[in-house]
Amino acid sequence: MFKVEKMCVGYDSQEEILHNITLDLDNHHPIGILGANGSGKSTLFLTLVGLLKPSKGKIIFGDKKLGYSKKELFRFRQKVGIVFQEPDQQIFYTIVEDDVAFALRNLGIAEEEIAKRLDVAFDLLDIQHLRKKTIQYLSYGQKKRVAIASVLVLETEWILLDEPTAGLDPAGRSHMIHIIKRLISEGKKVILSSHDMDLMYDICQYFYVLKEGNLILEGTKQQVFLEKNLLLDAKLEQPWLVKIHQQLGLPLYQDEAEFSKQVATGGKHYG
Amino acid sequence: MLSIDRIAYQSKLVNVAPEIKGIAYLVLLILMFQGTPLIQATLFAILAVVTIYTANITIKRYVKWILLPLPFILISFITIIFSVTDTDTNLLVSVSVFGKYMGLNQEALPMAYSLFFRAIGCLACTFLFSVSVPFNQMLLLLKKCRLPSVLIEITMLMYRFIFILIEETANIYHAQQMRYGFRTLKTSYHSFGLLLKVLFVQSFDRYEKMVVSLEMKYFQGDFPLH
Repeated sequence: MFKVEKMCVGYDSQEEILHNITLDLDNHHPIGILGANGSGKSTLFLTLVGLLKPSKGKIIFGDKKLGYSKKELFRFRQKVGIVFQEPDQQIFYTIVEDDVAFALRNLGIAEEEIAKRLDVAFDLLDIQHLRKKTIQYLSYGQKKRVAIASVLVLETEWILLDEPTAGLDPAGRSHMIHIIKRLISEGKKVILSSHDMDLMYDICQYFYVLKEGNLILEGTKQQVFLEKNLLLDAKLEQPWLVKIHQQLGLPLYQDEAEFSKQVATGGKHYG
Repeated sequence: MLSIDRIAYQSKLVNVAPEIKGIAYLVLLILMFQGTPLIQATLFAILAVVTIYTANITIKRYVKWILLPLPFILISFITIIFSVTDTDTNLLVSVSVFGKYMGLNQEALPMAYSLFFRAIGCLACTFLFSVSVPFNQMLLLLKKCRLPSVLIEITMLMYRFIFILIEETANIYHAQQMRYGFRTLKTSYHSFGLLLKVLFVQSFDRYEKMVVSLEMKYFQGDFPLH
């Protein structure tokens, strides 16, 4: 069980960043957190992994209220991992391999096991060829994948991805989408935060929309993206698939793959 | 923005001329230096109330601020009143260790007292000053004091970049925490070293970008202060 109940985050009541947030993260995976810049997405993520402490309310994980002692956090973080937005701030070594192994070495895991886990992660992210490379010479997208690999090797049940496509070129972006889908098919419980609406529509099933630290909307794909005015109010927009549905009267396709398939076969509605 | 600066911008005293605030700060400091412990304690209480009221902060927060430097004050207090001597004539309570006496020094007690109140009083003055004078007014004051412009520029740039540095440090630290970087003492040392390395490399990178953008803005070597 992973839940957030009436949680506020901030130094005191005058400087609250998140107000009264309630999330149920157990159902409808993957989950998307939508919000404009400064809406509190990153703060929410930091709180979800126990790096920030809520000033009010609580996080419930596995039937228990999340505790903040070193031991409890240690146990919690073996279940929940996070990939931050900026790869340069989470890559510490010069060689890819060393960096990905950092957490495992901190845990004192045997080298054979480390090698095995690295192999799995590198294969999953298509970066086996970067293994011995110097980080400095990698592209931004490759660095992002290295950052994901270093969390993947921890084999956590949950993975939180903060702005996974920010700053990527179209090719890098579509590769990232491919990778996230692969993670999901591997059985990882994924929570995404982004304002890349097309990405979120394509990947996630259930959504929470943040505006200035408040939860203003939540629901399934079908519910959330049809609320045009609320989305605009939160400085967001509708995904293009929803726009063509509402403005051109095309059917509402579930994701881009379905759209491409329908268009390729001529579609049922567009003969 | 540093939260102390945000508080200063929202202070009830924000529109008072910075010169007046600066002079008031000086006068208060002199009073705190000269006064007896009774005056210092009374002034401290008044300043605490004024600070909490004008800065709109909770009492809890103010107490936290005071508690922060308290260990340092207490350590100096203790080191002053404890002394080691050959005789125990001046000592209130003492233990004899290897023919020497260790204990509370009676003569040092009033001195320690006044030092304690002076320190905490000056602290209260400084708190009031820093939560009622936002940074731009501080720069103006420095300029009025005829400080060299190089010094003011450095102050300004430090203020501008310290947040970036803090944020970056926090981001790296968070990423390391999530990957068990501070699990044991050994890994903590190692992670701290890595943190400094990454911070240094990133700072250099940012510096290079800043040089480029300064170049594009006809930078001549100094930042004019209006």
